[in-house]
Amino acid sequence: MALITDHKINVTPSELVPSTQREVPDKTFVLQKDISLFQTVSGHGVVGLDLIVANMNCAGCMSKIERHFSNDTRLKKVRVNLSQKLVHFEWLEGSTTANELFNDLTELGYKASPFLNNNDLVEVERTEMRRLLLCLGVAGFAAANVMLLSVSVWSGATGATRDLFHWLSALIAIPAIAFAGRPFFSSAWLALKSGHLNMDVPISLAVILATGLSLFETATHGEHAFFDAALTLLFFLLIGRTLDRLMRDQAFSGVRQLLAFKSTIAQIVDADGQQSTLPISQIEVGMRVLVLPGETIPVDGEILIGKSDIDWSLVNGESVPRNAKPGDEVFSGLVNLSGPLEIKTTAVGETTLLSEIIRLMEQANERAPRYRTLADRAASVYAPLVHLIALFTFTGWMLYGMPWQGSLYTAISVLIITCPCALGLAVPVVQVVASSIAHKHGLLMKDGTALEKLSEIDTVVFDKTGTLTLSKLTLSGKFFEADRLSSLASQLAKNSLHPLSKALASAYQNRSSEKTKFSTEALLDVEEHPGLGMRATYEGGELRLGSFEWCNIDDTFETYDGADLMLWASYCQAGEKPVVALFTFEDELRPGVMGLIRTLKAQDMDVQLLSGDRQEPVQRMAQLLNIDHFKAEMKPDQKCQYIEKLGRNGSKVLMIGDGINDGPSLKAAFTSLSPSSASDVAQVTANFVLMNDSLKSIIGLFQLAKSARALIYQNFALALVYNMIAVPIAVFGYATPIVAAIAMSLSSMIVTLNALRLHLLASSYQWQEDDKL
Amino acid sequence: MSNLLFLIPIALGLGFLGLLGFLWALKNNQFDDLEGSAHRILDDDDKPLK
Repeated sequence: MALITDHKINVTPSELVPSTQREVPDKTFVLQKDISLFQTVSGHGVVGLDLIVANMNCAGCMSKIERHFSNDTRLKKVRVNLSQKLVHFEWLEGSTTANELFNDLTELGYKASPFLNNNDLVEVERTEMRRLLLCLGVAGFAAANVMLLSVSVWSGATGATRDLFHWLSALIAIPAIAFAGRPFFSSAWLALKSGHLNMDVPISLAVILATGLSLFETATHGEHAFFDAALTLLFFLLIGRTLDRLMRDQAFSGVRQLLAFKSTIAQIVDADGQQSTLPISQIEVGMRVLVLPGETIPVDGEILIGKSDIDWSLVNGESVPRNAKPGDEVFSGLVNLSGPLEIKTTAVGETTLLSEIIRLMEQANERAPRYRTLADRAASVYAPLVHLIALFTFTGWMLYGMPWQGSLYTAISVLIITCPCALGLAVPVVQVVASSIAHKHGLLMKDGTALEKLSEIDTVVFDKTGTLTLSKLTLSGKFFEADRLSSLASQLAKNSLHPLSKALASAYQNRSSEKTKFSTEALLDVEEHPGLGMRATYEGGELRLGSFEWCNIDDTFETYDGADLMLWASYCQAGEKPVVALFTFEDELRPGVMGLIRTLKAQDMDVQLLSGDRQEPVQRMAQLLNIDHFKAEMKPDQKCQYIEKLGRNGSKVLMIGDGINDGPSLKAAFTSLSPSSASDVAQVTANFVLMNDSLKSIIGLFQLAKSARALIYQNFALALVYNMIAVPIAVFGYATPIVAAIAMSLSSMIVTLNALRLHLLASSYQWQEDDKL
Repeated sequence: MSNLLFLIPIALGLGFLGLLGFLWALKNNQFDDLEGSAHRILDDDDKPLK
């Protein structure tokens, strides 16, 4: 969806019915959207601009862009960020303009769109990631150095040397722990304040107790200090935490890229007929917005001038475009197809259809039971158990007659050796590996929980238009005297943006024999009458393409009712009987649909179809795909209620949908997926975003989710086995610091290596590359 | 024992230098584009010596 291009559209004045005193705009609109709105100007006259480039995927693209612009004297700096698909330009004010650079990049063959980078959200994300990395760096530095000193102590340092080493360790460890432990301390404190125990509570307790006791031991010339253990613990746990964060950021930036392509700017027409560009956030009620054919309507409003056909499929799933005329109500998210429209904005912000949908989504979210992740469930058993064992050890040794330092020392050994390092890494490592595999195969994963949920799914609910189909029409049949007329009609159809015309034109594009028969030049006076059809003159006769009525077809041709989508053509030379043709179309199925549904059914999943479209096409689609349960003409709230009912009856539902109307049900479902062609509401809501056309990769995603869960369980089992061996050793007081340190690192490494096995497993899954089903 | 008086500060100092290097890299956005950096190193656009 290229938003920013030159448009030259011929409009026949008679088709634009003025509803105000002002004259209709010129015959030709020449529009250039102004992207200088997105540039940022710093104090020294340096202008910055960020562009998101969707089709920049590899090192080749990166160096091509950098090389092209690096010798450009107009620019101060150009830098490509490949992970975020951003190109950042900097130049001195006056040396060039944002639009110039944008056009250069477009000419180079890249699909760019402006991106406002001084967004607060991005900044929050970045600082959080940085804080974690900072903690990680500090913990790593301190752990390495303290470990160095500890090894010296273990290898036999005594007396004053040992004390010196302990004091040095304390000097490094205490500030480092205070700094790097904050993510855990604050989370543990929050959990305790609300009366819960989470994994961070034993971690914080172990770290603080170990540091406290070590300090005490150091001050009293004691033999053992635990600074190294406390720091390594923090280091490993911070790795887990950082990986977790990294995965969420990755998915988030992917979604942001997708959203950058949605309309962010609109053309405004003021009272004098002057056009200007405004970001959508600045549009107010009463402003007049110009929407050209092929563009998405950016606001809710009423049509003032112009007639057109409007594609409602993103909003309610209807596959046939609807006519629109002055006075009709339109909503943001609809796509204008055939004629330019001037729309008076009637609603912004809270009062739009969109916010109505968002309200429904919030309600669905509140009603949905909170999902407890595997890590949560493990922690709820593990955390109290660890505390109990530690307490038990302490009191046991006290009763046995050991001094309190010794008992506490053993109890801390227990806390450290049972440290949920392996447990803390068990889930995030697997999820990061899984997310990178999914990303490689064109699936964006918003968070790790979604993958866990996906492995438990037993019901899959599809939306129809845009989800099972591509919303791309193909010619399915020709009737009557079609052969003689069809290539002529297809030539005429080339001049229109209407989906039926485009489908007809592309059906004939590759047939060279017919191309030679007529040349486009032979068609004269081509006109498009939005909402009706097209006409042209050919060798003195009149050629028409459009509805039954538009083509003046007499009733001897009975209406053919085998398809919803049809286009009539007629050719009539003066005094002769018209030649008539009928073309029927079908919405093209998304590749991989058949295979996906077959696989799902083979796995005993309940497959259902919910659509906002009319009964007849939905039924036909259900029969074609062998789906037994289907419902048509569903409104957004009905869909949502239906999904909630399924959930209450114990089904775990995966909802796959793309429209604005699917938003609430995507939220209400156990987990959800939407294709990247979907509306932004659907994409933001869904847990997964499918980046390519084929639904086949969903099979691979299911397999990935299953093995990821298996690996997480294996990791838990490994942690359990480790604990069963290590805990008795610690409880009976045999855990010297070196044993604890080695055991801890070893368990973490095994868990990480086990997670990496997912790469091997995933290579045999069914992704879309395999075969065409 | 007296060796330690030199060696320990040196060891700690080197470690601290490493940490400073990391902090410098973090501050200079070196970790913002991990994917791009991985590819950039293979990009062989140096001019050959004559």
